[in-house]
Amino acid sequence: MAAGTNAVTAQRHEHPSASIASRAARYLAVLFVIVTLNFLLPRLMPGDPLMNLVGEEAYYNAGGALDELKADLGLDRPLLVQYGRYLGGLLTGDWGYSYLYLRPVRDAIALHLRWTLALVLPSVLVAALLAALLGGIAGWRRGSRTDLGLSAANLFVYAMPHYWLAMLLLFVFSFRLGWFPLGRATSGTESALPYLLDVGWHMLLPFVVITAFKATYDFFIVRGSVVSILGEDYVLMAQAKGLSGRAVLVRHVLRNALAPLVTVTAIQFGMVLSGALLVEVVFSWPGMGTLIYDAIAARDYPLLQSAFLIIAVCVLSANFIADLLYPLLDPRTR
Amino acid sequence: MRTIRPLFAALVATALLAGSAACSPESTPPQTSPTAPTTPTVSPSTPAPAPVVLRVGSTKPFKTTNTFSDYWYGVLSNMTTHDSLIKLGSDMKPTPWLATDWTVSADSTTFTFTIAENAAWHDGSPLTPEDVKFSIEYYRDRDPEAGWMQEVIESVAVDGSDVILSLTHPYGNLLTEFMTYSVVPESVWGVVADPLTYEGADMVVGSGPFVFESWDAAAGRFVFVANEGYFQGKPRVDRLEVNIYRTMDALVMALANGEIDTWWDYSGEFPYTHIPPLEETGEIDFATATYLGVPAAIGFNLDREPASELAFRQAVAFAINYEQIGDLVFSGYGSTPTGGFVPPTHPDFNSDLPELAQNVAKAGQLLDSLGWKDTNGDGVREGADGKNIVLTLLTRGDVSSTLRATEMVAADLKAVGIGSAVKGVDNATWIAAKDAMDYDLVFFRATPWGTLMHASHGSGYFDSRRTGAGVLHNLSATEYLAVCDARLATGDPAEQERLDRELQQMHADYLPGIALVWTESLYPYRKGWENWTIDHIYGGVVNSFSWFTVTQD
Repeated sequence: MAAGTNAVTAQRHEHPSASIASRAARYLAVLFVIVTLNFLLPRLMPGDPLMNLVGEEAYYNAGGALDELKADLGLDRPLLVQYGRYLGGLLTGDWGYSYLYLRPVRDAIALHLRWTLALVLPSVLVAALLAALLGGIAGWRRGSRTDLGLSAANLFVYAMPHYWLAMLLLFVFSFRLGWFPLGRATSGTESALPYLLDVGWHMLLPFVVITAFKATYDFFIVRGSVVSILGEDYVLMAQAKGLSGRAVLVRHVLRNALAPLVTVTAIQFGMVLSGALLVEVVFSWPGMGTLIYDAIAARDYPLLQSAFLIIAVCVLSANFIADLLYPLLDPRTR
Repeated sequence: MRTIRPLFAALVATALLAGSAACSPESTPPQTSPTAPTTPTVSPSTPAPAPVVLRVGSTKPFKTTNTFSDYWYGVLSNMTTHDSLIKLGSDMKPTPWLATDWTVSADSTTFTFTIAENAAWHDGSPLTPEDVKFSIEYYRDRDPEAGWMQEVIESVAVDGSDVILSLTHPYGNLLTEFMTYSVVPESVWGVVADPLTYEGADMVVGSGPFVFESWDAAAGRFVFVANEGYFQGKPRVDRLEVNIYRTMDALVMALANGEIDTWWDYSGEFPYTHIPPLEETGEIDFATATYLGVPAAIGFNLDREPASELAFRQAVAFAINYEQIGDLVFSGYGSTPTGGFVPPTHPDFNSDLPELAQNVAKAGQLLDSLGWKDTNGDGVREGADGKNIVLTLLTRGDVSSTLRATEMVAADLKAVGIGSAVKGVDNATWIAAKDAMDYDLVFFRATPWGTLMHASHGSGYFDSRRTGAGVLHNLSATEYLAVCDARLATGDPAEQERLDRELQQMHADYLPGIALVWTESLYPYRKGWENWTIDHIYGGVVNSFSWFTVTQD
């Protein structure tokens, strides 16, 4: 017990930079495990990437040519050697060559990742704002009609599979009403500012789906957090000082209630990215969803492992940033 | 709040930066053709007629515009920007295209193609017999998917406007094979050592009825414009747009609301479940044709019991309710096949073969004759080892019609006392399991092209010496292989017809596989378009022939 207390005390007195370095080391260790899993998992799947590269006919008839191709791609080497090359490639920025896209993996991912980030980052941001606003109101007015209405509406939307919601919006707003295009990222006919507006027009429906998916989940986090904070002494104190309800909510309640939201956002970042994959397919959005879907079908090892790695790095980065931000939001955790 | 504001500001800035980077038009430049014609100047006093614009929808996953490396673009370019030597006509016979004529030596080892003299590349240079010679040699030597040419084509020579192929051995299916290979310009590809990785802007230069104008991946759209100087005359469509959707649902909505005029899928069938909503719009007509392939079929593992027993295969054939599969899985557009495997669309169809028919009693008798009976009354027959007969049904879990057909066959088998375990997997896993013979019954679909390959009439799927392209290579009966060889060796039409009919008879006799259904395919298009030509190989109304027949009101 004493040793444990000493450890906690020592941790409390740890220099901030040492703490950051310690966390960074932990994240790097996790990243190493993910990198290894990324390498192994595609290779555990049945099927041979060369068959997808040259076609089944050629696969069986190519003979020596196939061996040459295998050697060119490094697939003839022992798994450990391939792993070493993979790690070396990652460090030097060489992520390999996509059998499916027939171009460097980095180029293939770059073409698609930007579209996914363009869709997901604004969605995460707006969802967090919406959740903070609506969850704060619902928690503040717990038990009221507003609370019941908001909670019921959020539960209703949250219960829908998001790809089904995507199909529904596509059907109603694009097909029936004709207000939006039937998917894809641009009309391909504009440039400059009209181009950006055109992209925004194409992006709005998938943006709404991903935002709704994230915001409805976060709503309950914020609401629950606000409700738990309302009974705290400092809230009573603020009310006793004669502050308005809005001031108490914004300055004292929400500030403390938002800390869990940051954590959840970071943890959920991966879920949002993977959720976006299906939404991308429904809206023919040229993002990582289509890339990963095709890469799995083609057993494109380099592309698959790099795509998964990118997602893992995004999730780890989001968690790391949340780790760093949390003490700023909640001084008690410093 | 002071700490929150910068946090949100940072998040907003990040989101906007990411968004603007992605949305910058410079970040994903649409590919444009080096030879796309400029828009002609039109005099205000002589208004030109409105151009005929055909908008086609597809769900194919295009990656690049390299005809060698992108399978789907290779197919699309073969009927738009490029030409093959010959095409398969609606009568299923070879039809002249870049080759205006051809002759085959009596021993089927020398093929002479006469090349059209007025054909030209999109950059204006003439298409010569030397280009054809170069193309054949280039495919043979550089394209892994054309590996068969290395074994078959000994030499290529040019004599005036003729290109002469000398083969190492008789190959009666050469004409059919050449329908899918586009002739490419030596001036472009002659300096390219690896065609699979080439991404130069001139890779889209062809000689076909359309000139490539642009490919915009973000917009999911190809644009082609009519080749005014095409050697067969200018196509009736001035501008061809191919719009890509990731789901058939989105494509169908686009068709219903007028965003596109028709649908294209190589060797594909338009999903029957989408037909009623399109009919309800009143804006869509359908062209129909009997599908050239077999949309649902089973193959047997002849290497192991129980499927190695002919009586067992016959029992399975009697157990299946073919009408029900046609009605339920294919929405009533299916018909009952014969044991010959391929549908009547094929030339030399053997109409003497009877239709398959469900006969549960007969199936039971055949199984009884093998000594496989349900002695313990659990509803499943036991084999010679006393264990229940439980078959592994290998199927494609990602192809809904195949999976549904599998489930229905499993129910039919259960009704005659045969247990089964359905193993639904994706394509790559299916191929691996199929080649490892890790199945008793394998479910598959035979494409139109697949039924034509090898010695034709579906033989490419069953000949045990074959590999690749989803084939089963499960039948090694000497008699069957001899007929395949004879069919491959002969160029005599009368002999071909006799062997074609014999192949179908052997499929019925040996039952290496069973067609579960033949279908009537429907190809939707918006009203106002008429006079389409249906191309069985290219799977619908969008094909090389329609460019010269289709009209718009």
